[in-house]
Amino acid sequence: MLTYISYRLLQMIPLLFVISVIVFVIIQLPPGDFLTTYVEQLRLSGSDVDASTIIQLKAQYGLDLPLYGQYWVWIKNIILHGDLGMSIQWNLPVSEVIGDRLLLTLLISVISLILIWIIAIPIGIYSATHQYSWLDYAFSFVGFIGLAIPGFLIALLLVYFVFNLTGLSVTGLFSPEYEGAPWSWGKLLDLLPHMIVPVIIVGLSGTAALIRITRGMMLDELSKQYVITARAKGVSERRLLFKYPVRLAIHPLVSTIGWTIPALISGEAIISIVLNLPTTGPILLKALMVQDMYLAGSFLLILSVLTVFGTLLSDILLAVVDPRIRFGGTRS
Amino acid sequence: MIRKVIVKKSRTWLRLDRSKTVSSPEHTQDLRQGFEFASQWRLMWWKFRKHKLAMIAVPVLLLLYLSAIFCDFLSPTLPTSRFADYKNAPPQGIHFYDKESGFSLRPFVYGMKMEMNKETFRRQFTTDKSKKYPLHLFVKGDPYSFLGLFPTTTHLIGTGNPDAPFFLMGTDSLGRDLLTRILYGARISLSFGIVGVLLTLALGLLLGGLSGYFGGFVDVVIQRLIDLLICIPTIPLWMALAAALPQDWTSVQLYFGMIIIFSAINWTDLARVVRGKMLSLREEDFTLAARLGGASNLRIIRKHMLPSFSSYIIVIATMAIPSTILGETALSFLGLGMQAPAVSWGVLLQDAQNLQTVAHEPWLLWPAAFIVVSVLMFNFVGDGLRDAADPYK
Amino acid sequence: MKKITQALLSILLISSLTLAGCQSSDSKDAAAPATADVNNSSTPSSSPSSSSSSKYGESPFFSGKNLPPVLDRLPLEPKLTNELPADYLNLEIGTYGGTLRTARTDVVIDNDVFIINNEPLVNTPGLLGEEVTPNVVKDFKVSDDQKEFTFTLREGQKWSDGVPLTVEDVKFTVEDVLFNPELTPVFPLWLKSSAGPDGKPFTFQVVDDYTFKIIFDKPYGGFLMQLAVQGWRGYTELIKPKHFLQKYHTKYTPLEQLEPEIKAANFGTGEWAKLFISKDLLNTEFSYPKAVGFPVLTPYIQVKSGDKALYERNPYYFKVDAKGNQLPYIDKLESNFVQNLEVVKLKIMAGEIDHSYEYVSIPDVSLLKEHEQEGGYKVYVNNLHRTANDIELNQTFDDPVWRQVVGDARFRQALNLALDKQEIDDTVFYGFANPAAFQGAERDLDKANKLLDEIGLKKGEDGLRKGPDGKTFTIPLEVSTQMADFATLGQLVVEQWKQLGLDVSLKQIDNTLWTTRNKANQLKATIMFTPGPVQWARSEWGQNIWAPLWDQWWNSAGAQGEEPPQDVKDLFQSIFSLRELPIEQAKQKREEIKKNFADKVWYFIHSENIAAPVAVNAKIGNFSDKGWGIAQNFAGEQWFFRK
Repeated sequence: MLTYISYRLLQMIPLLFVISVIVFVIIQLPPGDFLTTYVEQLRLSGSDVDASTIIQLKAQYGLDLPLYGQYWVWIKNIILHGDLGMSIQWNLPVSEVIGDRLLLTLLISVISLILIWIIAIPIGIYSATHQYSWLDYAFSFVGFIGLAIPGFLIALLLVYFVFNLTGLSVTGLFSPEYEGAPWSWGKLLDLLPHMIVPVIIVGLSGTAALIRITRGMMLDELSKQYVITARAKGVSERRLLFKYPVRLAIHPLVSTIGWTIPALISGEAIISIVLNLPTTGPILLKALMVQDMYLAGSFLLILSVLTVFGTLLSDILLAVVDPRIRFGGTRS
Repeated sequence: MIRKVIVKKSRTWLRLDRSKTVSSPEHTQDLRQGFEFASQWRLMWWKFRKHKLAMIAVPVLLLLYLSAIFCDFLSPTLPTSRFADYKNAPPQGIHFYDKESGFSLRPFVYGMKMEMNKETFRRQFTTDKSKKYPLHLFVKGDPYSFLGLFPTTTHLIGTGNPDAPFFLMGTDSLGRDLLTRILYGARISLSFGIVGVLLTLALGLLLGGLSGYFGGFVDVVIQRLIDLLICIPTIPLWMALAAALPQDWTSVQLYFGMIIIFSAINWTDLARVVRGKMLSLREEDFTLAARLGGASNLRIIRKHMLPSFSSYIIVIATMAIPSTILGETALSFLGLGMQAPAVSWGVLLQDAQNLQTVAHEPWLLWPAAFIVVSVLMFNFVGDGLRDAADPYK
Repeated sequence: MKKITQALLSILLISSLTLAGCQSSDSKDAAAPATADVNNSSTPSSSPSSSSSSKYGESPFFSGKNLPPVLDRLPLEPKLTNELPADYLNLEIGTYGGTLRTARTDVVIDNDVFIINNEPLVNTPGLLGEEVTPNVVKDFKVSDDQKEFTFTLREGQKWSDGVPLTVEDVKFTVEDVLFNPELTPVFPLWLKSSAGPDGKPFTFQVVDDYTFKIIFDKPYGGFLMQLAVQGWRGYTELIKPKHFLQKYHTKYTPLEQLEPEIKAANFGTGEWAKLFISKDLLNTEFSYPKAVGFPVLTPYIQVKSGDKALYERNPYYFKVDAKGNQLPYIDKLESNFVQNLEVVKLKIMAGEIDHSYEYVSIPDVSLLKEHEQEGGYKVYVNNLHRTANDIELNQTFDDPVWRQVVGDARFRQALNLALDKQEIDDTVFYGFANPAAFQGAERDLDKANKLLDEIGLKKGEDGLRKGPDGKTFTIPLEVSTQMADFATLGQLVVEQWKQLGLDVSLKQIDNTLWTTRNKANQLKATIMFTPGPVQWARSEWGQNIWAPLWDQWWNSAGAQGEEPPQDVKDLFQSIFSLRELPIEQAKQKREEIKKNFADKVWYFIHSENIAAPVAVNAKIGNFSDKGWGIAQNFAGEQWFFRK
């Protein structure tokens, strides 16, 4: 096991290196650069920017270096000092920009994920064991509706109707008095009710998808011979269900934990924009749009590291859970 | 690879036809016998029929695709035709009964009058019941080229009067008929789903198949590539690739460019599934038997492995279409996808995603209804197919 | 007119300095509502004990904060506020207190706060450019030959940290920053004579502790306008806080002493200039996180950065109202980072934001109007201080056929005649704009078609007009996604021009891409707003869009770009001569320029008097719907919350 883990860890180094290069390049692939956009933005709002200011800004952020030079400075500081660089756009160290937001994003994502599992897995099992019952159809229908309506539209409609009913704007994650305040119990308690709407919307499409997956996997397992054998031997339905099929049905969930993080971040971005949530998604999008490469690059790198470790974790988990994998996999 | 699937498919269809002619007389006699002799596809169809939602979904989808194909004939006008006197007009009702003239078999719409209220800043519409415009089938209207084959001016339904308002789903802020735009938008949005998935499928099958069948070095390289693509969120990837599309491309070229990018990003999931399936099939007894029997690699793949997972592929593809359609919408929302003047459901919805519209021009949300319905229907079909995919269970 | 206002102002000033509770002498202020407010406002000027003895009033916000008395915090002669012309509204005497909540969609830049905080050396009421009055400086004199400008600072004026502002600060800025090539590698264009690329930098003279001179070698009458409104410069390019910045300047602090800080800021050894620049903030950077603690002259100072940035009133702000109350009235600003325009509108409707800046567009107004009551705000309809969306054809695009066609004034006239300006106004602006008369508001397709035939753009068999090379002549509009208007207008224009038998297409591109393509002279046809037609004082008539190469040639004194033909040179000459001329002559020149644009149709300015709606907390006083919306914003220090 240990050799397996260390082998996998070693494998990660070139992967992360390649990712860091790719990330840095793709951020800069779209035409233009941060300063041109920045200066043009100011010019359009009526502010003149002197030539000197542009030159100075370039020098300050190392934008006068060639691309590989910029990459070298960036990666060197990360490796040697753990310094993620400065966000040009925010005028702040990247770690400061991302810090709280990443925490909130992970919080929303993890809570949504847990909620999705709690709701979707039982429904999926029920739907599979009661295939073509009216409840199966009802769950399918509701689930698919959640899957079919674009998240941003649900968010927008929800925001409008809540406003129309109550005159309040259900945006953001904190009440005004806690916005920008340091963390405290009060702030944490304030956060909880504000998370309901985003968690529901983020969770909506995920739940529907997971119901389908669980239902499908269960149906597959239930038709296998060991189930029939067990049933023939008189194992109780409940025991029969939970002893193997359920465990195997959630198998793919465990194996994809690692990949859910980037997917959740991408999915959360759009909803967060509509709901004005202080999470990472909108920040990343903005950073990409204006090519704030240290912010976007560092953030994407963090995500990749999380994903890579997540994958490793789920592989180890799988090996622990599934003896077939533990003993050398399916390869003959 | 993809060609093979299609070839395979057509062949099974042939077989299906043959089996029909052979088995149909007996079918009534003995259903059990039919069950034993029926082909895989026939079995699937029997299973599929059990899924009621899927059975509803199939005709709905057919209807949607047919209206997308014949949108120029079905729509009352052209997507770019502006009715300057009817901007942001609400949907009109079709009437059969009028107080003065009583009931008439021929349906009609009332006239409308737009007024800009300088106090409320709203365009207000009043129904003018003194003006009635009867509706006719096959009326003359704006000229268009039918399926790009021949020029014509005949539209399915209309008032025949170029100045008369006829907006079953209302108009947008430029005074363009929304129904027309939705029908034209269906062409792009619905075909984006299909073409996008076909391309994704091709890539996924090819790379996943290579990886799964050959294993070893090929597998490692493709697996690392997949790892890499999965690690990077799709938005920056999309932005970078979209920016690489040549600037002088026309909107049609851009549309195909976007499909290619979409597939280039999304093939990984499919490739993983295919590889997994390949790996497990390689270990199956019948593969081993074929190999021992001296069958070539190609023959094993073609004759033994493909048939046993082509149904899975179809299921996965069907399930991928709705998410592709939704993906197009999300990209439009972010301003990264197609943009006006291209007409797609995503683009139409882009105009509608503001509070102003939700509050005052809710009919502009109609494209959303079409998106939801088609995504829903695809999911139902996919679900039905999934249940039917392995008919020997 | 000018003299009367000046006289009035001086009377006002004197009265405010000498009399405490007396009625102001402005005749209009004698109206009934104003008197009522004067009574209300007796609280701020009398309640704090320190100020009852003084001739100035101050906000209770400062009580107990251990500050010197207000008399010592204000200059000897504070500025009597005059940001809005007297005919816009009767300035009321406000009451102190409250927090103004704004929204920003940029991560650090809040334009609302920026405009309120903008303090130029001299100002022009209503931003109209009709007259120039002192602002940060107490007084200014212009020599008859328009070459020598003498400015006098306000004695006793202080930076926000209480350090006096003197001519030393100006001297430091000019000699140690502007004329230091390490800190200013390229001397600013606007500080060269007549703002020309071949002009010489000004010379600087200190006269006494509060007076300095800026001398140009050529007439530069427009210099005052440059200071007042051009480019929202504020004071920061000419006055910097020496006491704060000298700590980072090698002339005052040895380099060795600076090294630790340079290193801490991640700059290379010896790169003190980078450190200095990062510490020296321009007025556009006052909303940056690093602005906390930086000495300023603005009404508000940033005290906390973040998604919700907080600003507090500057205890040393140099302006007073007619009764001698130190401005601003509102104590605090709160700038909220909002990620989406729809959320901004929602927050306005929910009463969570007090001023909408330019986030509200005309189509949004109907919804905002509906919720005015519950949201406690009011929608004012001001005018836009620029055009909203003009149409430009690039006359320097690198394609001989294109140039031959587009360079022909008759072609542009034809396209102008084909524009249905009434439909544009009704569709894009909901009728809250007028077809711009000066380029002709009439639509005449026959005449337009005749002109095109005359040029030789014959229609082919497909009904499309062919260029001189025999190929279909195409106008590909590429518009930025920055404003929703652009695409709406673009779709209209495409259809309207298609009626001439022209092949016109539209494509929306990302804002960054638009900028890049514009700079690289790659845009053939586009839509973008320009300030020139409305703010005549600004020399930007879209030249950088309808003729990027000629514009580059002009701005670089021939070093880059391409030399324009004589008529364009003449046009540029007259546009830029506005910078040299004193106001009266400049106004005449403006009419000439307008006429030139009417005849030659360099680009298409289809609308004028475009409405600029703004939603403002209904309790806010001293706000009117006259003039440009941005001018109301500029006078933000006079806003106050009615009780």
